[in-house]
Amino acid sequence: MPPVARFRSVVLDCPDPRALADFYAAVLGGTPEAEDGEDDWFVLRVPGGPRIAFQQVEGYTPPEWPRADRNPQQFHLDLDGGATWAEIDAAHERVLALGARPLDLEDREKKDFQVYADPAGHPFCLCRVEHP
Amino acid sequence: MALAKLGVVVLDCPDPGTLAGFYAEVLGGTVEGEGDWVDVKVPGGQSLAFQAAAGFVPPAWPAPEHSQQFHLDLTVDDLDAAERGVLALGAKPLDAEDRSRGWRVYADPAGHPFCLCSC
Repeated sequence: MPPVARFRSVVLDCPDPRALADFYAAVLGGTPEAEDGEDDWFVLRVPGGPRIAFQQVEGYTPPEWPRADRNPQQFHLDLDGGATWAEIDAAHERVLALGARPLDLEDREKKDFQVYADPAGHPFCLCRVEHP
Repeated sequence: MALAKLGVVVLDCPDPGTLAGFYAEVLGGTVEGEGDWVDVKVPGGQSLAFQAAAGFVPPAWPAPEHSQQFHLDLTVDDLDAAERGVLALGAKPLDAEDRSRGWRVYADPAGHPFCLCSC
């Protein structure tokens, strides 16, 4: 059976699409574009990667990570921050400078990742990834 | 200069194997792993992962106080055929009545909204 559909975008709800698109563009590369010239939907085409879109939601409520029972995260993005802890440390400094905040930096040697919230409150991980 | 590369989009759910099976059927991927974390590798596409979340509460879309937080847009050639496909796999229609639009909204079996788009 052929697939039913093809992956097009992952779309993040947020209060300020332009600001969140700028954050992920600084982290992942690419240039955000307003769709149809409107301010309520921005698209970031990540170089060599998928489209990430940002949708404005009135009254947006951010996740209360790590709760699963109230305003849960529903999803998160795993980001490959490099193969060494020096690279992860550099990425850590840069995401904090861009407005992320740390959620869980403990046991990183065991887990191989650190958890942050983006400026809208969505958790994401900086993962140490051994490249073949 | 980018400081990281996107790895996977990870969806919280009560049963990773079941939800991974749904998306593997929809997108044509391969299910890898079992238990609390299951990956779906999509050839030439964006890979997804599924993580067990104890006490998981699905979103109550479109209520912002029970936010979906995100959704996936999936491209199709034929909205009617794709709708039959996702409903047969356990999706539920959320906003699929308007046939004049190039997109329709469904919930996956864990309750996450997703769109089928012909645009």
